[in-house]
Amino acid sequence: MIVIKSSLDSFREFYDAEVDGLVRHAALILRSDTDANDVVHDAFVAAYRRWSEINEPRPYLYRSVMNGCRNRYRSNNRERDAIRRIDTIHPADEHHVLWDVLAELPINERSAVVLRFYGGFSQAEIAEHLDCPQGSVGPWIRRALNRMKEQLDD
Amino acid sequence: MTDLETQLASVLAERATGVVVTRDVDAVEREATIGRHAPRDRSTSRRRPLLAAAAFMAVVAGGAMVLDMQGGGSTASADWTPQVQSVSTTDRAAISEACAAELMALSSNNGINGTAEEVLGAIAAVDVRGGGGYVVYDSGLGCGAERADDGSFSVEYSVTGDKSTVLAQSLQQINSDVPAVQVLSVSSGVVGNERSYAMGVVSSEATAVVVSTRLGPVEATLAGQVWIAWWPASNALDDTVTATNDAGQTIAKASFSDLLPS
Repeated sequence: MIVIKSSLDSFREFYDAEVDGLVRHAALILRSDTDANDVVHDAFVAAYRRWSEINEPRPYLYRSVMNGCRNRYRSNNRERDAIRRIDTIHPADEHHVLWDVLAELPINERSAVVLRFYGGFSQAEIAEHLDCPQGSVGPWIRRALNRMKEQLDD
Repeated sequence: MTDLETQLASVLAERATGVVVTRDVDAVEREATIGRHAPRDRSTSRRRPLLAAAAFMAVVAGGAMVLDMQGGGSTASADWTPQVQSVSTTDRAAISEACAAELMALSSNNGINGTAEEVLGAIAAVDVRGGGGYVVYDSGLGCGAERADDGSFSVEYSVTGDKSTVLAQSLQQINSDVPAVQVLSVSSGVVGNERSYAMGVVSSEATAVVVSTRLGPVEATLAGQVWIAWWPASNALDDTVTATNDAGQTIAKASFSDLLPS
């Protein structure tokens, strides 16, 4: 009984420590608080069911959330278009240009950029979270930065 | 860091500041537990035809009364007790409007033009539960909507298989004979809690449609020849739908897997 309680307590502690960061990362990638909360919630539900089997919950949850973001992003084409249209009403200062360019990036590049420049993760950690070869991360980020630079120069 | 990288970090930090977490760990535990451990309770299933009938009557007669299965269904979970309750006409109208807009856009993208009435038909049933609802039209088209953070209703219509295929399939029903029982669409993981919706059509001979899920049997709301069902878990692709007649005899069965691309 004590073991079970301890396990559930550790889940709650982990949830409290990580939920904000996970939702924020997901929201920056998906550009929707609602979608981000859904994706993170689903990831935690899945993690809860396997909690006793998960040795490293943080990488597990990030990987699960990033995967959820990819799935949600791909199924929301219409919503994504609507968000773009809404975003264009903002004044075109440099911040908004960067934000708009971010919206145009392929999902892997966008996720890598958010994890690197918001989360401060290393390339190895990003590769782990995105479940991709480490060698892919650098080129994704470089391509994304080049596009942003081109847009700002225009 | 270069200037660009610094700017980017600043933009992301600025945007992240306004992000609000809307869920909590209790909801996670509740949902994880319901989806996994809910035992089947056959004692409640006998009440379901009455509840479904009452709900359907309410939809047809009043317009403002709809079936609310907040956690509704026929399993034993305390969080999932069928009940009929009043839902504001404002919510109902907002859900219908959001769903109609989504389906009309989908129709237009598929080269189907006309007014909403021509394309969708009248509303056959509205099934509102918790923060969202599911609308089914005479045409056989169905759509789910959920309340977004800002109070508006956003549509999340993720259909198993291709939307266009489902749309075309649904529209064909308008001009063809309705089969004994058929699943037209399944959606899951809708905004909000993990959940699934299914809808389809059934012959006029049927008086009840029951969806077999991993949480136990769920009786669909029957509106004319359209049926809809909802349950609080995702991934029900292996489940079946059974239509029965007045005598309780099985008329036909259909499987959700029929919707999957071969």
